[in-house]
Amino acid sequence: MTNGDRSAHRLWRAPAWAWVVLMLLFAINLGSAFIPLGNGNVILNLFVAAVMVVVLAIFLMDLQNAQTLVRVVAVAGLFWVVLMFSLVFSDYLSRS
Amino acid sequence: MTDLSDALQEPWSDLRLQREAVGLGMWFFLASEVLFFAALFCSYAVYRSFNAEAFRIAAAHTKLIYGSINTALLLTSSLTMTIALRAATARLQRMTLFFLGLTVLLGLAFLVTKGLEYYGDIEEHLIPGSTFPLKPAATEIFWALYWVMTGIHAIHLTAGIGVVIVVMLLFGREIVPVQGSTMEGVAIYWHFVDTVWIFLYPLIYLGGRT
Amino acid sequence: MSEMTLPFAPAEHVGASSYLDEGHTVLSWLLTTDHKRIAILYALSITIFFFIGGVAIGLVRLELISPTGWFMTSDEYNRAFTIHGIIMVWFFLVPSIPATMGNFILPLMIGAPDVAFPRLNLLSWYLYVIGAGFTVYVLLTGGVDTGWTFYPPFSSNYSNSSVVAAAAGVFVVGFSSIATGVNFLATTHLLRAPGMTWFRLPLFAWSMYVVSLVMVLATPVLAMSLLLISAERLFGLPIFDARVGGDPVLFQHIFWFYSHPAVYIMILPAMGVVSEVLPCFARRRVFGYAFMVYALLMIGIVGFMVWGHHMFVAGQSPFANLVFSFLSFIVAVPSAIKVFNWTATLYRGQIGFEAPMLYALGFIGLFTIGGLTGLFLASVPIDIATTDSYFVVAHFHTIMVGGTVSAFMAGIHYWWPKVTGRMYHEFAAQFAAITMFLGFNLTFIPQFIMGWLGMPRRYHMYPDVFQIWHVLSSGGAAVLAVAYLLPLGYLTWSLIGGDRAGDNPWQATGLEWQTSSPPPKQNFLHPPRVTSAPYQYHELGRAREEGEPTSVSGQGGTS
Repeated sequence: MTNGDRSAHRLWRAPAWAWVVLMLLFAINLGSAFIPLGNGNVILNLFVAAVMVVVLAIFLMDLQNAQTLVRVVAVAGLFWVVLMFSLVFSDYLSRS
Repeated sequence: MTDLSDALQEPWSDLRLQREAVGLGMWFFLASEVLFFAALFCSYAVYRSFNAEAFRIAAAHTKLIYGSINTALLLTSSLTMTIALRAATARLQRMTLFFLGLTVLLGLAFLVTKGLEYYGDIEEHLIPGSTFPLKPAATEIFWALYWVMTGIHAIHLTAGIGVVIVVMLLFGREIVPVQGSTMEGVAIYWHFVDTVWIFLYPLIYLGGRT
Repeated sequence: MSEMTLPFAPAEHVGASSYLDEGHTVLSWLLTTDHKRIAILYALSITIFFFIGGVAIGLVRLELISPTGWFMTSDEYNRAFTIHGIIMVWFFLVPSIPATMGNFILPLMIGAPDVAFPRLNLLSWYLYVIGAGFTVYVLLTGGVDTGWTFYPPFSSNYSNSSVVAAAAGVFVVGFSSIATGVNFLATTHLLRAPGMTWFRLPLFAWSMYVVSLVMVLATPVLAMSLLLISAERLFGLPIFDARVGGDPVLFQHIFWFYSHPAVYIMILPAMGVVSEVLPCFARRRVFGYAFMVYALLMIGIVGFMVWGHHMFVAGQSPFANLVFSFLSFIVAVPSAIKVFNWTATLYRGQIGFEAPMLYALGFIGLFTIGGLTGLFLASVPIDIATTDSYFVVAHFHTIMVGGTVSAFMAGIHYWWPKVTGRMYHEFAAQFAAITMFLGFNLTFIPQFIMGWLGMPRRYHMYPDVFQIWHVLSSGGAAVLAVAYLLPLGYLTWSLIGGDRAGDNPWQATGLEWQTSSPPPKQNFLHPPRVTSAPYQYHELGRAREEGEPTSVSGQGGTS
């Protein structure tokens, strides 16, 4: 909390850097789409997207300073998504 | 300067605890939203894994420029929302309102771009049905998912814009003080909408570009 | 551990008002943010829908007396059992214990003045009402005939009924669930009274916590499944359409990802209620408290990993069948642990047979049977033979009716004095409980038998050989109907002319009993402080034997 310290630049500097990183990652995603990597394209894209979300969560959503509980909730949501995907695909990938 | 006690809601007697509660509650709600979109993304993943070629062909007809502009707009709106939250925590009412306003404008710009994109898609008959132009048949599934995924995302974004406008009015008229718990929840929700788009963008727009 | 008398006079004696006296207008109820009033709003709503769903199945059971049907067309029959399922699952069972008893009792039990987000709480009730409104619309427009499971392609392409309206109603009421879940989670994390550590929470509070986790994580997936079939039906967007390469089984995966955890949403609160009633009426602490907590958590989590057992014959791969079957056996273990621990709680107890206890004991027996038949169904070869037969119908009704509804009744009677400040007529309640148990068994044992003999579910007409079982089952249903109507009578009577209840008529432990009956609006006149574990019944008994004068405590006191 910048209680009493009203210098505005402290409010936007760190988020602005995060934004620059996000735009760079976005450019990587967009640019790599034109390089034929076969299945590698979507894997790279999703990886970059995941990194972008982590940057967003840590630097814009302030997750590194959040209570442990909030981080647990964030991870739990992810765990359930992984669970859904794995068990659904356990059916689809094993169908003959 | 508004009386801090205005910010207190029942049953909370401590503003810090109330902010923590709103943040926590919003994250729990976010977990449910993650699962909501997960079901949709899972469906996409299942169909794509069995119809890779059809999805490639179908995705090549999405409007990359519109999608990319929208990505830039949303990422920037997350920045402006973050600055608004920090300004609110620092009790800078006018700065908060300014950056919330920017966020709304960026969100509206997204919707306008999307609207133009939808108009173009409709012109090209990219709606599953008798006039659908692409082959093979599974390209219709890609496009069905396109309309559902981008549509639901747009609805969430619209709701977010609406909430931000209401919040701006509440802050502007000093009905609620900016340093209360409201900004916490709004910012978390907005970033979530952006997160959905970050995953949606490559899946919808970046296939079939080679 | 401490024994102490309450150092301040209970609210009743100093003329403090009860939450019921804070406003007598309709608006004071419709715009309330008091969790206790919201609980009552929910109780009235779900009771209405319980009876509507009951009438629907009453018509079905009446029709099934004849093997060729006698007053319904097959189409009407399909609509009747569908609306029964939709109403009972989403407008009665899912909200039943959490939205009524969770709302009323949870804050009291943890020593809080209200839930974390009172206005969200009221919104959750309005979401229920709006969802219910859609359902009433569906009823008025002839119902829906897809079964409560909404499977495509029938629901998306072929059904001539109000599918989208029904889906919309369920979609909206789902958000009521999510809102309640978010509220309870935040409440339990942040509003526990000083000294109320996690492992001093009563098991009902734990059950509300775990069920909230399940509601928050599972319900949105249901919402998406319904949204997708609505999109397919309304806009012709082919998501599950096999003609373009879609897979109807994908819908089943998404639907059952929610609907299996949904059955745990229905049973976990029931287990929580039983864990409160049993120790009180056996005068024993709960056996194995920590394992009871871990069991709740394990049921909640592993419950998300078993949904494929609803799809063994749907075209799922044999490998997936194996995985889901195995996990379904695993999920039975924590439930079994709970049954053992409840039984051990009774050992060397001083059992009282008041109505709440009769319902709780009935729960244990029927839940065990229902659960065991679930193990039969978890085995793939047996399931292949019994899928879509009355065996399955009897299995899930034994758990939901024999289990959840019994526990719901146990909770209603147990906390009735606290909520209303009145006692109900004990003999009438005991009579109703026994009638319900007998009626239940007469309804569903024939269904187990005929299912095993091959009678399919959802069939309007059937071979003559099954008629005797259907007639017995319908007779049982009539007895059940009477048993459900009896409480309406004697509970209403209690409100009008019942004896006034003291703060703690059952001599129970727990913070909710340390305040007046009914409680004041802010729940406690002085914020409570917890100094001991829950269920201090052994200590109470010991104190009574040694002739020490003591009032009931174990938890609670002044700050």
